[in-house]
Amino acid sequence: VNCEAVEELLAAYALDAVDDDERAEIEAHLATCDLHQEAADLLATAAGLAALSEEREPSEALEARMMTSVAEVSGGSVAVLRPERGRRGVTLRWPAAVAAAVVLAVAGFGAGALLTSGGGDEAAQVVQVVRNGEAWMRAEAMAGESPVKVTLAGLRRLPPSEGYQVWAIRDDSWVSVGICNTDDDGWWEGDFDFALDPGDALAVTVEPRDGSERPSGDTILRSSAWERPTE
Amino acid sequence: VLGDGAAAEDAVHAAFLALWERADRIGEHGRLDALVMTVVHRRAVDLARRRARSGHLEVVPLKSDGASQPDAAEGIPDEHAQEAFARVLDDHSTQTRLAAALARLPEEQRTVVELAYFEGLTHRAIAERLGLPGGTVKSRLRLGLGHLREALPARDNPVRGEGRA
Repeated sequence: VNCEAVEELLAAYALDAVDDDERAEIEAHLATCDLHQEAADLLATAAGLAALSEEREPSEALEARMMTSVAEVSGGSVAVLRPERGRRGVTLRWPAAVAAAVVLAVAGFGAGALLTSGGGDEAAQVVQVVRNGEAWMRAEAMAGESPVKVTLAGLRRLPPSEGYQVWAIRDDSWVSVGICNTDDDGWWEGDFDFALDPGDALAVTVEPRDGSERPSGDTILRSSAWERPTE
Repeated sequence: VLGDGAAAEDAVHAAFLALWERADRIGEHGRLDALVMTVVHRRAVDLARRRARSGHLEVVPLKSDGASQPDAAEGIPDEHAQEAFARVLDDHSTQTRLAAALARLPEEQRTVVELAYFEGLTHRAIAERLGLPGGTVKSRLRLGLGHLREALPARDNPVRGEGRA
């Protein structure tokens, strides 16, 4: 395609009103053409239209889905600090919710990721998702405050003599968070009276029903520790 | 674009994963909210068109590899666009300015812009729906979006107000 044809389609391109083939041709052309600046401005204008979209409150399930997916593609665990306004009970609406949530998804990247609001007023709702095959744990807490809400899934129900013990790994020491057992669907959800610190990694082991002082059984899940990034 | 919350959440989910997987494409000087909304919109449009195709017995075939998910990098604006987000969009006045500008557009331009952006139609689908020549739709889109661009902060604004009729 030539410049004239691309220019004619530029607004349609910016509004996502071209088909896949046209989009590919336009983007290939823009890579070698001065029109890329105009295209960029039109894309920005179109992005501004999003602010006029109908607002909708995201479901809580969406966050869990996204965190699980991110944990999956990131090799096992993520942890999140989110801005104060994101605390449960405060209504978050689109697109503010999108903006807040994407901070979780993109601000930290790499091993032992810590994701922050980037603002300085981050409070400290910590969400960790740890996954190992079908086994999955999600823990959520306000940093340094009890309780920690824990969900386990994909873990077979243990015999009555055993339980899944959740641990916080703090300064290389394993501290018991609590012990539980899953139901016939492999699911457990509840609160533990434990104050999770932002730097804690989490792990799950199989232990005797009453729990152990130190981990003695198989480690089913374990997240990597993460650290607050330096400014 | 999609018309129901569950599908919209699918688009948001896909967009966030794409951004996560291609975080290397996210520049330092852009506007994260605009970047996100652009990627979400693109994913929403993709989902809507895929749904429309499957609902009409594959009028347009899917990609030959049958991929159900686009490449993660697709739909993530390049560095020029990300810089433009920061240059063109204003935190406080964008919504007001655009809403007013959209309301001021001649109806023929506003209609095509809304069908394109808020309903996710291609320019060809708009032409078909409105019974207009393809060139007319493209011209109206260009004029309409150009007028909206004019309504935003004019810092280094290279877009001229007069589009081609």
